Amino acid sequence: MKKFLFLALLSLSSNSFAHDFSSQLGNDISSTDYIYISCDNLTDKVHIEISGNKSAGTPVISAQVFKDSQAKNITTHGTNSIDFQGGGGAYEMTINKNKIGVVSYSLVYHCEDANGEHTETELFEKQNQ
Amino acid sequence: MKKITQKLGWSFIVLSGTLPQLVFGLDSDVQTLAANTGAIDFFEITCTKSNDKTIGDTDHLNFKLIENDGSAQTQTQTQNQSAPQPQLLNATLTKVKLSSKVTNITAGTNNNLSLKGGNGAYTLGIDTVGTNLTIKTVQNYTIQYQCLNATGQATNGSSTLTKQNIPSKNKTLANGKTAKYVINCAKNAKSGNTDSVKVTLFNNTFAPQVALPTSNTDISSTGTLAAQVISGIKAKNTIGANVDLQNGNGIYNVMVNSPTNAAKSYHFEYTCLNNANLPTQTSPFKKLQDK
Repeated sequence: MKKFLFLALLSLSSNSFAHDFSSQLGNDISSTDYIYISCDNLTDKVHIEISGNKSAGTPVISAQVFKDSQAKNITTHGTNSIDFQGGGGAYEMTINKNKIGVVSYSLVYHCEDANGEHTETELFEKQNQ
Repeated sequence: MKKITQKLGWSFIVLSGTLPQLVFGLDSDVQTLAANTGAIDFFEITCTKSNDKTIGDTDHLNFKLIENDGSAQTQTQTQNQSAPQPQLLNATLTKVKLSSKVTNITAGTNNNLSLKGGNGAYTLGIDTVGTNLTIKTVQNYTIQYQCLNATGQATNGSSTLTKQNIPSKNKTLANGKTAKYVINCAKNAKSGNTDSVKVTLFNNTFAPQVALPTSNTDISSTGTLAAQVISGIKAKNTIGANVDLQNGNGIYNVMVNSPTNAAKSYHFEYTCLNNANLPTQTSPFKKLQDK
């Protein structure tokens, strides 16, 4: 049931790091992927976008980003991107869906400093369901 | 988003398994998620080891999200009604000429009572009036109390029964008998004088119940809201089904949000349990973010 594909693309541009992550959620509604994005201490915020199949009847995939008692939600069928201003450190993230069924999703993410320059970004996986 | 109320209440939930079991959970009372894009209500629950050495450490947190006008609430009510309990307890709080009473706390349920009597000694009486006396088995119960000021902050409380805000050890009462306890409330240096005392009586007497469905795919809400329970490196999602997250003693975070950005009223039930599904210590939830 689990399939996991991780792509980290580092461009040669001096100020552009593009990071992508793709995975699948299993059939159960309880299925949750749990990751965190680590941003270096020059970071002002993290930018995250989620995408998935938006066809009628398909599950809405949601991602919750949380750090230091703050949390925000994005979905494939609504607002699908977020700038979360939490400084450097680990931005935790859970990804889930509102119906049964196996679904695929993709994330684009990067950490940025206050000037919009990309800072060091790493993604770590805690749980893949 | 505005929280309508935040009082603590203990409520009844049923865990299913090969044998139905009874556990008791804290209830969040009514919460409301706003329709703001990206809104999340964010909570923290702490599970700790039970004071009762026979119960020991927390194994998992049991959690259930209930949309207030959804089907889950109806389902719970129907199940409670479908299993009439022949054994019951009544509780009475008195202080001088003041009194407060709750009755018909049937096996497997609980209820709260409070009395506004200021600082001083309150008497808590427990009886079994109304119980089917053909049943000879003793009833089991635990008690939790808290002395509060006028704004709901804890003041000083003491009793030989148990420490304030900690469930007592299991007590027994034969049908037709009574038990009495004294709870002393006093001024607290920070929160001031006591306004009232709140007591929760849990009737732990065994009562067979209809089990709830266990499948994580059982949908018992409208799906307008979703919740995630997170602890350590583990996380689970629910749109209404009961979920257990196994991560021992420690902090469990809960997030409530809407896949459709809809505003919705809800509440949730939660309890920390050991590996035999017996309640350990569950802290009242702490709200980290209210959106």
